[in-house]
Amino acid sequence: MSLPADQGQLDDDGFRVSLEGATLPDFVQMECLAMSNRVFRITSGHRIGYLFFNKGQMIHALSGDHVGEPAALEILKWRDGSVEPCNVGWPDAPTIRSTWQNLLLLSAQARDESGRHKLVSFPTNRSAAPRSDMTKLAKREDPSMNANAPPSSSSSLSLAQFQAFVRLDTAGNVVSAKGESEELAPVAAYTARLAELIGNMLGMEGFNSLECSFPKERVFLHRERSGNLVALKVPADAEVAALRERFGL
Amino acid sequence: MLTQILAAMRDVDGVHGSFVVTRGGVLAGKDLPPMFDDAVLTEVGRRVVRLHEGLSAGGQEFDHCVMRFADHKLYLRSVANGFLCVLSTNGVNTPALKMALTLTARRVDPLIAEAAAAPSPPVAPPHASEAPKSSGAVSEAGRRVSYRGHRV
Repeated sequence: MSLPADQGQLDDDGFRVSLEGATLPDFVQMECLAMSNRVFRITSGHRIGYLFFNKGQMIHALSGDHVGEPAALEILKWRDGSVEPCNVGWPDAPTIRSTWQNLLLLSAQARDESGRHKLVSFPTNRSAAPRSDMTKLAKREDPSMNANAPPSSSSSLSLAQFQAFVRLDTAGNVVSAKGESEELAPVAAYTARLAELIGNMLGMEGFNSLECSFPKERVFLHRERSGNLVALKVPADAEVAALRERFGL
Repeated sequence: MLTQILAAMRDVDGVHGSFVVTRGGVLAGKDLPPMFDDAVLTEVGRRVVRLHEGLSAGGQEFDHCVMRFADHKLYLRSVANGFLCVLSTNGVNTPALKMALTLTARRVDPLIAEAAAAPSPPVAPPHASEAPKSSGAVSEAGRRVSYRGHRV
């Protein structure tokens, strides 16, 4: 199988996130659910590997000693390091036949499940870092791993604090979801539509985002450039400064 | 009176103006340039109410809501009798605006129901016949004017 050369190009849409304490399986899951067509360089200490995603599957992997599924399983064992998109040559044919779910199950058997803490940092200043999707994975207990994080990383929001997350496409189909998303999805879709109508009537085009504060929680909506709608629900006491900055609120 | 109170919102740089709608979606007052006519604001008010109902479907009522558009923001502050809506640029001083919103909301809240029930609101509310009649100007409030069978 030959893959188009431009599949390695970076997509300008979406978040640039910094993840602290997340795991590579989490990352793989996100990329596959997002139907990503990209290559990522995984660096962990002196080890470097590459994961290739195409149409929601991991189709190829490279590590120091392995290619294909063994390489993917080896990389998925790594506990800390960084992830960044890159442009490297795509294989002529997939070297991984297993589904990503199966790969994660296999890797999970070898992983120590303890100490899984998740932190998401949304950089507060896009211009503070080069314009690229940069994802850093680091152990929360190891502050030295955060030395290269953007200054804004102090404003962070725990993934565990997301009560609900959902991404809807332009037709209202759920692209990805987490938590109590069944209630959030219709509310988000309806609210965004009303916000657009209100904006149009007042001569304010280009609905971008919305924040709504309730006594116990906050709801954020954001219209991505792709037209997809992202909705988040977080507790009222969650630190959301970076999220507001990111959404222009 | 409402207009005078709302005018204070424009002390904050970047605020274009504001308007107030009742919980029923009736325009109760405004301080906006003339290009925002009452008919438009009335329809916006109804949608603000629907937006509030949609977001509050989970059982909680929102305190405030901000919508960001390409060049502008719309702030909604929920008060007991309605919603205070403020139009601003995206670069508005947010802390200053929030402070002004809080102070203005306190002052306009008691006047919202009163303004909506007044005999000559900016736009006739859809359920004007259900609104309590003003104690003053009984003859004016009680007079029905119709055109081609429709009350105007």
